[in-house]
Amino acid sequence: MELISQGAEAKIYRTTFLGKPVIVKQRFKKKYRHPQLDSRLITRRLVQEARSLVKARKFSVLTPILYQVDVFNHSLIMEDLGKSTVTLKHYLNNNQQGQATPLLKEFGELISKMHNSDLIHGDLTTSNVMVKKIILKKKKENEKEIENEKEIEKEIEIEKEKEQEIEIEEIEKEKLVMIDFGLSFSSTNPEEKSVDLYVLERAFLSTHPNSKQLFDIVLKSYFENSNNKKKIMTRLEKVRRRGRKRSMVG
Amino acid sequence: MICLGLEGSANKLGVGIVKEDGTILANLRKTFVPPIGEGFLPKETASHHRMFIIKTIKEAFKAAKLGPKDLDLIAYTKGPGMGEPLQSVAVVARMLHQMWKIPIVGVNHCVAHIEMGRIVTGTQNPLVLYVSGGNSQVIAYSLGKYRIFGETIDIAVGNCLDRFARLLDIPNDPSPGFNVEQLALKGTDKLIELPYTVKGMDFSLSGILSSIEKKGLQMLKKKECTRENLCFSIQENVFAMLIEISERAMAHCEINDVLIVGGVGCNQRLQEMMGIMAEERNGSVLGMDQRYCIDNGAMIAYTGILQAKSGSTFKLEETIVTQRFRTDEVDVTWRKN
Repeated sequence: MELISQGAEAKIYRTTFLGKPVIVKQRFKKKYRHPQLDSRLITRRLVQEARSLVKARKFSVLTPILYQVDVFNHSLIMEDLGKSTVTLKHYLNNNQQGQATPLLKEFGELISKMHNSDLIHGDLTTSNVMVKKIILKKKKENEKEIENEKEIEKEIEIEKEKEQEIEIEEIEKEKLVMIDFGLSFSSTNPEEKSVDLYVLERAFLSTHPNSKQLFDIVLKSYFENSNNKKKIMTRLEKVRRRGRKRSMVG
Repeated sequence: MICLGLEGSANKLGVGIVKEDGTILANLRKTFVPPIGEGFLPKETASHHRMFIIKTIKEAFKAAKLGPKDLDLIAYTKGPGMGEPLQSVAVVARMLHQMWKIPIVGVNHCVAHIEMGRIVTGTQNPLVLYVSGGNSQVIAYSLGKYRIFGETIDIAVGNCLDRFARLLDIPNDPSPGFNVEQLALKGTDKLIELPYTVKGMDFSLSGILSSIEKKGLQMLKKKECTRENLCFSIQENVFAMLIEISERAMAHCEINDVLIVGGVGCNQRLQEMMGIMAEERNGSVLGMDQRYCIDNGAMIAYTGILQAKSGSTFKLEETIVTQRFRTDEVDVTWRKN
């Protein structure tokens, strides 16, 4: 196992599992916490993450495929997204705003898909979204985009029968994959959804200090796809003002 | 440059006299302590400050062996804080400014805590955990401002502990938080489960108070736990949340040193826990002692000097006070990136 990074809560290793390249995310004990509290939190987050990684996929949100949950060792074995996959944070720091705009729109869409199905991520930051390069095969003539290998093969078969020549071109596209669901939970409450967005807003403004516009793109796309736009928007305003209005005594 | 600093945003009245290089010539404090089971209200607090401020200023001059002629600047707390108490101190600052014809400057209370921490511990750019009765923020300096990375979504840590103390009739003298800390030391045999709520880099404490009110007091009645156990449990739970938030911010900003300021920063257990976390990251926690953690006049005086030297002083019309004054509203003109 090769240790590739260590966050505040877990160590990330790269290895293989049943012949597939995988990532092992292993949560470790925090010595500053009381042992009872510590094990309660680690187990809770492990289980929540495992559940949400699978749940999110049902709502068309890409997450790493979960292969195994090891409660005893506090670890999750999941799909390795590949060495060329970077965080959205890294991507934003290394690309122009224009290039990033479609991804930011997609990000807003993804969050709304989760919220529309009452899944709250709980820790939305640009470090918890990965940008993965995928190869799309496209038929040159009719511009139909097909991602699925099987479908491509089928099309080729059909065209072969028609005895027509078809040209396939490969395009590199970027897709977003959500990770880090340790703090996630389910809720129908618009308050929780707006707090989820508020956490992201603050993460944006503190990581990329001059990028209010970036967050606005995400938010606009979110509300375009939200099934409860009005309530969540109102709530978000209230949550934002709480910070400003708080009586700061002492 | 020598500055007289006046602080009174909450129940502590502070008078400090400080030199430009950070040397503290005097630092006196008078605390308004309400009776057991009560919190401090604006009216009584303002009365307290009015009663003692002139006397304390005179004592400060005596301690520093100086007089008004030796002063170059007067600094007062502009905010944030409680309206009446802030105003009662500002009135005196304005009076002295006009009487002695010395320049005056208004200071942000939170920034003052940070700057005091920096000069006392000698650190340049640590992550700052500011925890007091009225504030709970994780702050890092970035692009000309002290930016708030994470904070409480509802109540401040100190406020939570003070209200917890009231629920259990724990005395307010010298401070409720101090007494909770002493009781907690004797309650380590049982940890009671309390809500733990972290949302990204923010956290929520109101659930803990409701849980104590419902579950905690019941358990106490049935003798299933002691007051000491509850004190221990609330500290372990709340402090763990603070450490987690701080650690996330440290990982995010790539800083390894952390400074705890504000009244709750005096808590030894919090310092210990932060130290364990920082060490694991090959960093360190820069502790403060109670002369500077708790609200005081010296921090106002020192920050006043920093402001005056890198910017300008206030005209009389500008010497207002304000209850709401965010840490990130201040242009930190005395620090260069």
